[in-house]
Amino acid sequence: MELTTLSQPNFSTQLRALFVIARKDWKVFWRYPLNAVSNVFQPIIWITPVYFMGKAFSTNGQALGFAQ
Amino acid sequence: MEPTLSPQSLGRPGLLSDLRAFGAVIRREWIIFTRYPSWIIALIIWPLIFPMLYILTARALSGPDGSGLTVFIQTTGATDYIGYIIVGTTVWMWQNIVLWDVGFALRNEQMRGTLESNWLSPTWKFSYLLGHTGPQIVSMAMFIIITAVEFGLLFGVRIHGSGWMLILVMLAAIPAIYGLGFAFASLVITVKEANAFVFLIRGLVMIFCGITFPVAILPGWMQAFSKWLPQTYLIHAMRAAAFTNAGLQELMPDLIPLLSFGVFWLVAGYSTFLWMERRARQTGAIGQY
Amino acid sequence: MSDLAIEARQLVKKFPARAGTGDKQVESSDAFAQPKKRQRWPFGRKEPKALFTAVDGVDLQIQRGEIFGLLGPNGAGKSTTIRMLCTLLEPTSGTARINGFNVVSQANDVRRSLGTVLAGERSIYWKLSGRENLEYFAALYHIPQAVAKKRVDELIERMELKERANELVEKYSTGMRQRVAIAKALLARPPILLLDEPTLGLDPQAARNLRELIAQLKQEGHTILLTTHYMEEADQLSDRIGIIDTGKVIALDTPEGLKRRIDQKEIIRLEVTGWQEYVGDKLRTLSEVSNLVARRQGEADLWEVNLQSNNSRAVLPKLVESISQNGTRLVNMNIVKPSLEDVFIHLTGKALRD
Repeated sequence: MELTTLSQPNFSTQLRALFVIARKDWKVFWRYPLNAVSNVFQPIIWITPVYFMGKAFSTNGQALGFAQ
Repeated sequence: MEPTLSPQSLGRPGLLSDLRAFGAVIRREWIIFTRYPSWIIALIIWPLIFPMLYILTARALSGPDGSGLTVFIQTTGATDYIGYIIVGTTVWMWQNIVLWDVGFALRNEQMRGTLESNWLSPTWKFSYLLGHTGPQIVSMAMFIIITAVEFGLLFGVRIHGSGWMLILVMLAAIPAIYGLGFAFASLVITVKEANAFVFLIRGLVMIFCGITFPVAILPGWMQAFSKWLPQTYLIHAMRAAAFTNAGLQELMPDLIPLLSFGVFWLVAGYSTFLWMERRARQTGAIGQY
Repeated sequence: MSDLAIEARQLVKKFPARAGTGDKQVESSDAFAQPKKRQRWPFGRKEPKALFTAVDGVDLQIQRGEIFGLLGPNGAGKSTTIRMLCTLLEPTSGTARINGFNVVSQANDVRRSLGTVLAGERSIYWKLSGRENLEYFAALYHIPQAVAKKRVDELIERMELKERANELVEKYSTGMRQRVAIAKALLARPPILLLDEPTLGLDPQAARNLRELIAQLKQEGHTILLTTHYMEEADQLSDRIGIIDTGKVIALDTPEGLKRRIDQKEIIRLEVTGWQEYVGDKLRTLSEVSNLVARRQGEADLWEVNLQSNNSRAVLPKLVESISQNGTRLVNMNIVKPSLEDVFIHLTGKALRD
């Protein structure tokens, strides 16, 4: 009995493949909940030294050098 | 046919053979490290990239005429803002690299499949972490030297204080930095989301230890928290040693807590390792991916 | 010194059960647990953890100089048993001794007495050469430097790695990496070797060479505990075989002794096309038929059906009549002597590769 493949590649199946890859990555991302949540805090963590450094360059909350 | 094998093993346990085993771990780590040629690029590029973010921000905050710098000097007491920032960022990089490198040493062996074959030998198990630390300290020393050279050449950063004091301070920090790495390495074997903990610890250093600003600028509760992080004392002491010619007497208020944290973290690191070893024998974690 | 190289008494290993473990051996850790109302946290008593029994009372007594084969399907408990014997895993209960040393309280003495091949090519460093790997592990096994150098040269020669001993292992073939792993196990000249599926993943020639090596090692006086799910390998090499399934040793004897258990039975091997499950159910109702197992051969519609019968003459016509209906066709038929696989099927009702 000859077997014929079920695979029929075309533009829409390629798009579907892209979609399922993205969906898989999204699911896997949330299945590491601690990592996922820490990603939320990363921007705050990285900005903080810049913020406090800005304070070191400021007088009464004003960074006059930056304002020039 | 009569068996010809003597029941005696060729192994001869003792202090010398334990030391030789320890040396073999160091040698193995060094050989493997140097067989990934991209380490050279990492050593040259990374010392520049991370601090540049803050240096360029500081330049912007200084203003075109450098007037913002006056405020900075008044706040920090540091005339060389680039040197000031580099000390903080280098300490951050040091802790970060130790967490990824030493912290994942056992986990990487576990994923490779070699952790089991190491664990099957009669060698003292802590040798694997200690031995891994040897080449790591050497590569970190190279990193720091390259940082100093690059910023010396590009931005004219100079050490005005005693180089020996600076080295002493960094040596005093080794127990704390690596003790934390040992504790981490042990936990990572059983914790599945270790990356999140690296981000947490280095995040704490980034926020609370004054890598680009004096700790005195932080709100009261943050200053209080920063006193519980050894990196705070390390950064403060390194700045004092490098740029204000501070002697041993002046550095003591930082060195004593730094060494105390070092003792704590070494004990915690070793205890965590023993706990992990016991737990791994109960759960079979050593052979798990 | 005891005559027993390896001794295990009532070895048990239980793990916390993972969700979805459908195994019958999942049980509560509290033998007297009653279904309780869940009490308020934090003062309430936690519900007992479910436990999965991987090894359930294994007894082994392996003589010095013997090759002992531990045969069983995936998940039977072979690897868990080996890991308890080589000190990677602590038994939940029971005791084990290797070379007279207790695996829990004298773990380092056990490790000095053992050479172990567990993960094969994954157990060595691919970024080190074959020689560097052996020198490294020789130091970990506390072999004095001068002795280690000679021993490494000797093993490289024996494993036919001399030409490429200084190349990185990542450039070796699977067979070569396995030879390095075995050389590593032999470094300290241990009296006892534990080999976990040593020929897995090897091509037939490499597997044959390895079996010859194992036979030579026995001649040299090593005691070998070998786990495998290859019947022929266990049959060819082992002095005695233990068949393990669902954590228990269900039979233990010489290969011939095991086959004699079903001597009075004949094994009928059928090749069939268009196989359907209802045909198997129908054949199982025949009184002369027992332990029928059907397996598809590759991608084509060809099935191998093995069954045991105590009266092949009487059952053959009934088999032919039952099979040749509704698209199912009998292509080939043999009556064969029982093999170890048939012994396994007889004991467990399933094939080793299920």
